[in-house]
Amino acid sequence: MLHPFDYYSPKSLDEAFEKIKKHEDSLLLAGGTDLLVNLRSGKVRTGTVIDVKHIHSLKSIVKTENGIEIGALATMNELAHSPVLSGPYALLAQAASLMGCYEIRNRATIGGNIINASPGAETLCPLTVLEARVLLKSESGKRVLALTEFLKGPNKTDIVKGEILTSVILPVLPEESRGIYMRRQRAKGMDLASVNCALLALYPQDIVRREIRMAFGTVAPVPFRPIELEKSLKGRKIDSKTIKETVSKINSMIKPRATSLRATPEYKKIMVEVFLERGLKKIMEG
Amino acid sequence: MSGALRRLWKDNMEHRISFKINGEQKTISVSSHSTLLEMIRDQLHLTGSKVGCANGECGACTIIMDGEPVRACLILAVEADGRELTTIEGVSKGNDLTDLQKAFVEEGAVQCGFCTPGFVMAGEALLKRKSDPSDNDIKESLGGHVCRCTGYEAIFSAFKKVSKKKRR
Repeated sequence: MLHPFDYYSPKSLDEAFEKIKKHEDSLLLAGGTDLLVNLRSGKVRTGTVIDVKHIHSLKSIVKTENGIEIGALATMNELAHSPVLSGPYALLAQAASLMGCYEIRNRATIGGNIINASPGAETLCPLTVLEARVLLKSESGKRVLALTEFLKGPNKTDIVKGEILTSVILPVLPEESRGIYMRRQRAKGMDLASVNCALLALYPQDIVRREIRMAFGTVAPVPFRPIELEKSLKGRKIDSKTIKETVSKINSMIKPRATSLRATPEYKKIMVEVFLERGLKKIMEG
Repeated sequence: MSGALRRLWKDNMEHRISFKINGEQKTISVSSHSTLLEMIRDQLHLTGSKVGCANGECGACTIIMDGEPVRACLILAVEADGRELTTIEGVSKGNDLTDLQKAFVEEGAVQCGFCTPGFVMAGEALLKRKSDPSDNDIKESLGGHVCRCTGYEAIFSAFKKVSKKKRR
């Protein structure tokens, strides 16, 4: 049984802002697959739940001239089957298709996945390598932030009271870019990722222009992206020697916490190697 | 309601909602903080949907909402306003079981039976969106369902039996 709270379901952003202002202790409800669990366990308490699911402007996944704009309410199953998320963006659809289980994916939203900011969250590694930005709206205006600036730690983001994360913006990428999302889990049916990784290669076949981006989840409080190391790979042949070197550099930079329930730090470091070896091979071969 | 409780009770804690469940239109009052599963079991007395983990992990409370399977324990009752719901009670026509339910019986896919409603709802929803599901489709739809008796083989066989039957 949940503790008592008020419930509102605004039909527009303006109405939602008004409700948030009026109810200081409010929490926003999207898919509810984290919020209801947290309310039940007592991890969070609130006097007012504001259900944003009836704000229809937050639902679409569209191609724009600036890339792709994904409404915060897009569900994991919608992402997984979206024709817009193809080519360079396919790794996001792939990650969404692996999240939770089918029923959870019918409800869980991309906005919720970002705001919940779990270190192993399914969408965060792909969004990191895609250099996603988040659009936050409030009564007084809007902010656009790089996802990496927005994420502050486990279950922590830069969002302030009165703001609503309305969409995620993916920049335009060269059409031939290829990415991959990989995860390791303890059980086959439904489990959180023990460790996960997203790789993206821009111009995968062109050694001069090629740019490799990588992000690893659960090895740090937020997805870990070694930007300097990525730059050092520019113009280099990606052979087993380069991969070995890259792995050992990454493993000297990360310090996964020893108290994780799902994998030891040693295991995660081994997986860094496995992910890079398998993943790079896949995306370079196209 | 006592005076003290009434003071604690705020403006928007009771909601009049209308929805269709198992083909029947209903209008009832629900509390803001009731889950859809609590409403189905405690207010409508449809106890086929089970309370397993109550955390979205076991699948025993799976129902179909607007054609898609969902976890009733992770949805507020008030969110059902305007929706169409099907629970395990609404799947068969009286004693006339669906193909999937018959296959569960024939394959011995039911032991203690606690998880069965959830599996059947997931399966009925799968067969609605894909009349001829592949092995992977079946595994995907079963992925979030926990059974502690059967070892899953018999359940998988029941699903296979129905998809084969559809193929013929």
